[in-house]
Amino acid sequence: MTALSTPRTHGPFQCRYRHRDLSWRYLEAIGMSLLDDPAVEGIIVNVRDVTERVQLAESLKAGEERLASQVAELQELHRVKNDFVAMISHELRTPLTSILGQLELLGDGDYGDLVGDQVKAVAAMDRNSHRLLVLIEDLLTVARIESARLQLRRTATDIVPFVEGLRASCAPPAEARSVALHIHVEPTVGRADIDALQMERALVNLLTNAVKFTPPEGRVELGVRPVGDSVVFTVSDNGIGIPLDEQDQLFKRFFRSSLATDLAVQGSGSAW
Amino acid sequence: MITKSIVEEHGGTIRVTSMEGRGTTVVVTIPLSASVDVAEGVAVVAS
Repeated sequence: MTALSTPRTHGPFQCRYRHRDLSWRYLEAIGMSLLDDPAVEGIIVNVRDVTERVQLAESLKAGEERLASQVAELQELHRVKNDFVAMISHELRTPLTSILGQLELLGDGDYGDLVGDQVKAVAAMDRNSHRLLVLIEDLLTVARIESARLQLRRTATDIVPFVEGLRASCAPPAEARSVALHIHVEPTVGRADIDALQMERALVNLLTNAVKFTPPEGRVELGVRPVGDSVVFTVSDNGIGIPLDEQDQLFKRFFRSSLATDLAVQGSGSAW
Repeated sequence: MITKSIVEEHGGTIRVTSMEGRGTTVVVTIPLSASVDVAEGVAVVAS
């Protein structure tokens, strides 16, 4: 018997035919030449109907394309929403700044002395306008974070005076709630490349939150120390705590502890 | 979310431990120099 040359297969080839019922049928053919094989001397062609597979692949592809276009649409919607929120919060800030300015003049007696309940009324307006400003700033920051436009302006910052700034911002609300605020900074902490404004914001958020969730006569501590190539800020309180099942929710966009709702603690919940 | 994003933008981490009724401790760790987290970023890309 002569040595056989290795049979070579050809294909698969795909073609479609119009079926009698007028639908398209997809056929896949694989051919193998055995002309050199004296025992066969022929060509074997294997034809399969792959219509179902082709249709499935087509519908999968169509589904994928539909999904991709929906994702693109949603992303666009999300971007428009973020731009809108950023724009609106910016627009809200302008008149509020003017109101705050006027309230300050009013409170300082620039428009004449205030009498009786007017002092209290102006103080309440001032306090609430400031709260409104904080909420608007939060809104703006969330929109910026979501559209990844939160750009840090890092500078080498001396940590000790930086922490003194935190104390100045957080002492009044702590005092107002009769919560003791203890701050301890290791003097060796030195400098860090941070965006002092943003970082102050983050830490003031943590500290004021701690104050909010600590009952009167409670205590909030801030410890600052260098550890290796890092600086570690530890904010601890002996307040109401966060229920275990809510802890992983903490950093979601508008997390509000169920305890916060129970205690009527105010805030947008975006600060975390 | 604001706090976490700011900390993470700095290449830092934030960890919270809390016990209901006992209090909460939040630990924020920030690299002293910006180059530290840039170097880490490069290492991640290289691996």
